[in-house]
Amino acid sequence: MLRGTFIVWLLSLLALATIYLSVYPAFAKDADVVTQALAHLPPAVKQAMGTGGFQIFSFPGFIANVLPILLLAGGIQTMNMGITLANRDLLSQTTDFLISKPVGRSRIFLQKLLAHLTVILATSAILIGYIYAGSQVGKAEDFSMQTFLMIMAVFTGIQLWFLAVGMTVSALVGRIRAVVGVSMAVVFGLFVLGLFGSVIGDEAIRYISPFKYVDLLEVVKSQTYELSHIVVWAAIVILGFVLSWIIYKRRDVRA
Amino acid sequence: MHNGVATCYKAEYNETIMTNIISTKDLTKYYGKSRGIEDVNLEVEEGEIFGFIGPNGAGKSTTIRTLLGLLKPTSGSATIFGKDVVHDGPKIREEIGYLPSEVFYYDNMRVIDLLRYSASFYRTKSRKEIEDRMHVLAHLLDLDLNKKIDDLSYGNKKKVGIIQGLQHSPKLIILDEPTGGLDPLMQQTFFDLLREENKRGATILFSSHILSEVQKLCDRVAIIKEGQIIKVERMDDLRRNSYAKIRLELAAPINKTWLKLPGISNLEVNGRHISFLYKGDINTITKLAVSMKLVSIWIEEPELEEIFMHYYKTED
Repeated sequence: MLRGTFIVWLLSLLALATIYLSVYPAFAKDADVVTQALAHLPPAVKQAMGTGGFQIFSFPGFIANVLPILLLAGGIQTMNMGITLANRDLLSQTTDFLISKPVGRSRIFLQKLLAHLTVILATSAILIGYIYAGSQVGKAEDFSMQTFLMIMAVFTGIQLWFLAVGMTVSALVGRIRAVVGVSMAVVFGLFVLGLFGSVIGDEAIRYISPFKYVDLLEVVKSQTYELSHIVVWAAIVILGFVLSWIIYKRRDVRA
Repeated sequence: MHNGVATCYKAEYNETIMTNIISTKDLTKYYGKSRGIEDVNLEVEEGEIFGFIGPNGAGKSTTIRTLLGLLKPTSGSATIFGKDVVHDGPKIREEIGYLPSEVFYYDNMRVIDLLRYSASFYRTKSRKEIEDRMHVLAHLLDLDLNKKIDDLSYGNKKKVGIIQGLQHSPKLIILDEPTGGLDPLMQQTFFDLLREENKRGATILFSSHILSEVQKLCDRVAIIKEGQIIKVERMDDLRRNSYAKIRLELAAPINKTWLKLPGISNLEVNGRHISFLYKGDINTITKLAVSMKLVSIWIEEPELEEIFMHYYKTED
């Protein structure tokens, strides 16, 4: 089950990455035209897009600009996984089978979590490797490995964040039948909230929407993350894991 | 029936010192404010087949699920093999085989893969012995191990449940209304299998709302009603020694003193015909009967059903 969805999502992400990678050479060639076109956009639109001027034409700059779409997809993937982690056994009522076996609930939880973390790390590793290979094939200019990895780490971070949030939602709510509906609503909601935050320049929203924890163009410019946002990210991820573990351990499995 | 009872009593005849396999003390479970079970005290001895009867919603499954660690008790405690069910759950479950009333498995798996997956949890047991037992049981129950779970009928899924519950030769077998979906022949095979497991030394806790099942198999029985145990008795005492089902046909109309005699219950009077359950000295009732003008008298062993209804009525 987990393996099946992993493969489908990975292929979709790679397909999405392929589309962007194929666009980049043509995009870099027409740098001047695009720059002029962007210059004519209203400031609010530019802010929402966060296109950051000329940096878009370096490869990491380009990735930083197209990454939000991959983040959106990756977020939905792991929010689904998070909800399903305990929910699947509840829905298919196989919890009886599992919990009546000689195995502690903490161990079941840990094994499920490790399986999900493996999927996330594998997805990131393959995606990063694939985009890196693409950059080499496309002979990208101004390639900085550090900047590239710092940008791609945001993908892994978002995936972990939504896994933790998905697990927490599922633990608190119990049986969720419309898994995709719930995760789409949450992920898109937070994405749009992030865009909205960019437009009105509200700093508080940057702590709520994980899509805005890291200013990707700032990473391209200065190779730094903002510590306060990293702390919020880590706190939510750890809290989500711990809270859902505690609930999983204590939950009554009713007939 | 008599064979079943005799088998059940073997532990008593051996005159060995009994140890409790299951022991609960004031075990209570509430779901929020609604009652699951209240102050349940049960002692299931080693080597016996213990029946647990009561209507739907009485608390049988709640008790069993609390023993298995699926539910956390609100108060009270329970031990299995002398270990606490809350703290030593995984260790206890190493020696338990559980068959729930409704079985749900991973639909995409093949039967054999599910059973091997189930076997993989029992780390202290020999994998080869479990595998061998799995094949023996599958043959006995006439189950194709290569089919996908999804393709099985309800009865066949139940067979998968029986095998996963018995294949590791557990010391304690817990069955929660296990016979649903099994045809009468398969039920017979299943009961024979349980008797065989019991001979091997397994203790069995058998919950049911079908009294004839319990009657066939068990030697002691607990009756549960509205979350509380109202009676624990040896099946033998319950059925034969304590109660007699008496029917009288009188030449003259009924003497009202009948109604006042202690020990009489379920009294039905239909003209000159009287029937009732009697608990007490049989000489008292027969003396009283012969003092009247009798046409006929029948003294029978009551069905468990009737005794059961008696408990339910008198406890109200």
